[in-house]
Amino acid sequence: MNQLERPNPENQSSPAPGPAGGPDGTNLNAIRQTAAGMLAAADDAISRVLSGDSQAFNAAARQEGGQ
Amino acid sequence: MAERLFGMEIEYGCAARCREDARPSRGRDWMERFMKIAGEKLPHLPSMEGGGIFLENGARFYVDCSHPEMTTPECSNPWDVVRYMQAGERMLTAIAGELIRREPALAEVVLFKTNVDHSGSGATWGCHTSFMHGGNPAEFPDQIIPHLVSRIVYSGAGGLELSDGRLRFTLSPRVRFLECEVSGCSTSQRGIFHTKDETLARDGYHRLHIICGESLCSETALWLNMGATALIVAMIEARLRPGEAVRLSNPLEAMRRFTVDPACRATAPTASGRRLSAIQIQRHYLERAESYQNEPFMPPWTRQVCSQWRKMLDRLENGAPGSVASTLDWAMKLGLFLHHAERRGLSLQHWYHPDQAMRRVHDGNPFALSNEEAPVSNKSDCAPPAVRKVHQELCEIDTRFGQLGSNGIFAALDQAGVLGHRFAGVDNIEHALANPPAIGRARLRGLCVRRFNGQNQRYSCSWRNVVDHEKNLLLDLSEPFITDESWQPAPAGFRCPDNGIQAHLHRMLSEARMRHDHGNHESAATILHQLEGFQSVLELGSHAEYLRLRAWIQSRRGFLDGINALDELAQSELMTFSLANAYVCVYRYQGLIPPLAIEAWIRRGREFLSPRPDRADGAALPFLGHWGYFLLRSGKPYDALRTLHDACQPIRRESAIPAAIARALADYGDASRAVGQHAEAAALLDEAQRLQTELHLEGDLTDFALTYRAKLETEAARALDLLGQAKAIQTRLGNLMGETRTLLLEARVLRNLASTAPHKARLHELRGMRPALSQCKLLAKILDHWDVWVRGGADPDGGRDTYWWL
Repeated sequence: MNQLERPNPENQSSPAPGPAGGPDGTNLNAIRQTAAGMLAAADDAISRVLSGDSQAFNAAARQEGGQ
Repeated sequence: MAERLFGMEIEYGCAARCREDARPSRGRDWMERFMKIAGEKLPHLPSMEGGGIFLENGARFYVDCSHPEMTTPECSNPWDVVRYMQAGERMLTAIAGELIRREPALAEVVLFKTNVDHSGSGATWGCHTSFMHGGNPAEFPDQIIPHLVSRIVYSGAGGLELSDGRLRFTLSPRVRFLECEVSGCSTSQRGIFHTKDETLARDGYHRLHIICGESLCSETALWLNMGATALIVAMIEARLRPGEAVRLSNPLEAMRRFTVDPACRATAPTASGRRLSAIQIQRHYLERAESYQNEPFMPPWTRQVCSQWRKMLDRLENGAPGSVASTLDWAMKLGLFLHHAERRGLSLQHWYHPDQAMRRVHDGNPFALSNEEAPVSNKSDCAPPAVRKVHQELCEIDTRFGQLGSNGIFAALDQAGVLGHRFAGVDNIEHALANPPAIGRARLRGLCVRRFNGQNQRYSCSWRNVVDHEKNLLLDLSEPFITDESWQPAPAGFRCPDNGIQAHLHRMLSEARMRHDHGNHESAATILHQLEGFQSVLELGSHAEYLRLRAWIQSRRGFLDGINALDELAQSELMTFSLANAYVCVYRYQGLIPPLAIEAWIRRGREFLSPRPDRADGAALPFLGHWGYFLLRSGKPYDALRTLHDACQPIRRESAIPAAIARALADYGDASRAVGQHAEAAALLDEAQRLQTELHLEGDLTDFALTYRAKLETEAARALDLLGQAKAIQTRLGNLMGETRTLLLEARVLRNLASTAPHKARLHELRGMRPALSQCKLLAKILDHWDVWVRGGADPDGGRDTYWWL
């Protein structure tokens, strides 16, 4: 594996960026803040992409079964 | 430490939206052009197995079951799996963009990562992972099933359905499509554990093929999913039996329990009687992995996986779903769903929440927690139509969440920096676009693709080798960790480039034909799907066989497009008795009784037959058999009897295939029953059953001999036994058309409205699953007059047969 591909173990200690909840839950408030931010941002993203006629969208996006 | 190889294959949903009506059309219409652009834009070599192309990063791209499917190269660590998945998605996004540029009518091509259809079709498609191992495959189900059941607390994609008028959230939407614990099927009758063991490597290696998972957007979720599963595979290979202590008494039931509990506290009984939560089961596996993390059979990144695994379980235990709301796919979706539903005026009472789990969810919902004054909406209640409307919007959100490209909701949230899903080390995607992994055979494959790109006539690829058809040389990649490029003389099958490919395609066609004959129409269809991309290179005779086979198989599966295949065949060859008979055959299976369109083709067949009524070529017996069948369903039992008697004459049997003979005998037996000749009917059905049993024609055995025998029986118990035998086989084979007929007969024999309620419910379900059933007039009539049918009443339209000519 070359240097470009080899993951650096030093970087693997936490799933950064983003809050990590500790076993004692000390980071829960930070996590909740992030989640609240996510929902606020979601309003914008959802309103931008929703088609306005979801039933028609879902019907027209009908897929064949795969594996 | 031991290197391991694994990878992932993702089937993407696909829809295209046109400018004129601003509504998407089905993705399949655009797939051909999509593949063409992929071939133009991506350096590649053609795949010898199953169609599609191999890419210079070692991956493979193809179309499977009408879905664009990208398979990562074989990777030796979980970081690479995530990287190559993301690289593949960048390629697909670029191709979609190019397609829009070339097609002015197109406004949008939506490629998405959900695995279930929200149109009501009941369709699902897969995200499969494969793990190479050298263990004993027989030891895997027991040891890994508890992991597959419980890992959904971090690997679930999240989804929802409408059930009993309420919204129901599920951590893992694929759970709804799992019907048994262990199965060899992948398109129906799916199991938690899939027994497929196509090694794609030399002897001594096996391939664990996991199909119960879902496509994920979160890097953390995907990384952990791959890493944890790889560690468990390593332990099973080392015969450590890591799942022994947590074997579940009913894995499917446990999975269904876990998937509806976003608080991750639900428990399920183990074989020893203890009740464990999904997190506790995961902790058991984790502790086993930690105890072996320095052993030489574990991969070099074991410690990192264990560390992240423990952190994730801690987070889940300390406040799921809120604690993982911006990290895991399912928890993100749950937040979005609850939030959007509440904005639309739906409160918790509109959600299905077993054991108050959803209320706990709401308490843990980050949105609610950030505003504790309003944990439950005080907006007015919504009537069911409003719930349905919101459900449709949530389904679109589900689809749009995993939409590839910057327009997807997940992508938008990621871009806004409000997610905590990223995983350090998953980087340098640009490199993964054009370079294979450094470890494993994908490196050599990728290098060959880069070097030989543009020479598609000379070189081709498979997972196991690269072939130089001009010099008859082969680069054998069956050793998974091969490092040296050593070209050897190709074996006989590859001597001539055309013969090599044609021989392979012939083998695939033969395999599909064999599976069709044995009644395994679903797996036969899978092979034909793989052959789709090779139609242009198939020899004329093989292409005709492909089209016929496709027509037969689609009709037996209950799809209506078999006729299209015959129409295509009719454009390239003269109309013959055999081709006319093929039309009759295909129409025969389009429903429980044939549609009217069959009559025109029976007339064509009779025109061929009339100059030589005694003709005894291979088509005469099956044609007469189908004609007799049609006459019986048309209320002409004596005409049917005469025609079927003619079909079964010894002279006609001489040139007919045994499967056709057995079907005609069975039809003859059923016609004999209809006119009251029960002894003759029994003898004919005995002979048909013997033939079908001896030749392993399981589809015909269940659809003909066993079900016809059941109709002949005077004792209900004996009839139910025969139908039970038929149903067991039909269920195993995913034979939905056969299952429909058997359920109807079972209900008729049971003669009890209460005990046949599940039959009716399943029939309604089946009716929505196959177009041949949804438009079948007889099925509609029976369901409309269910009480009459069940109580043994006469056909409301005056049919004289006890079974309404079914």
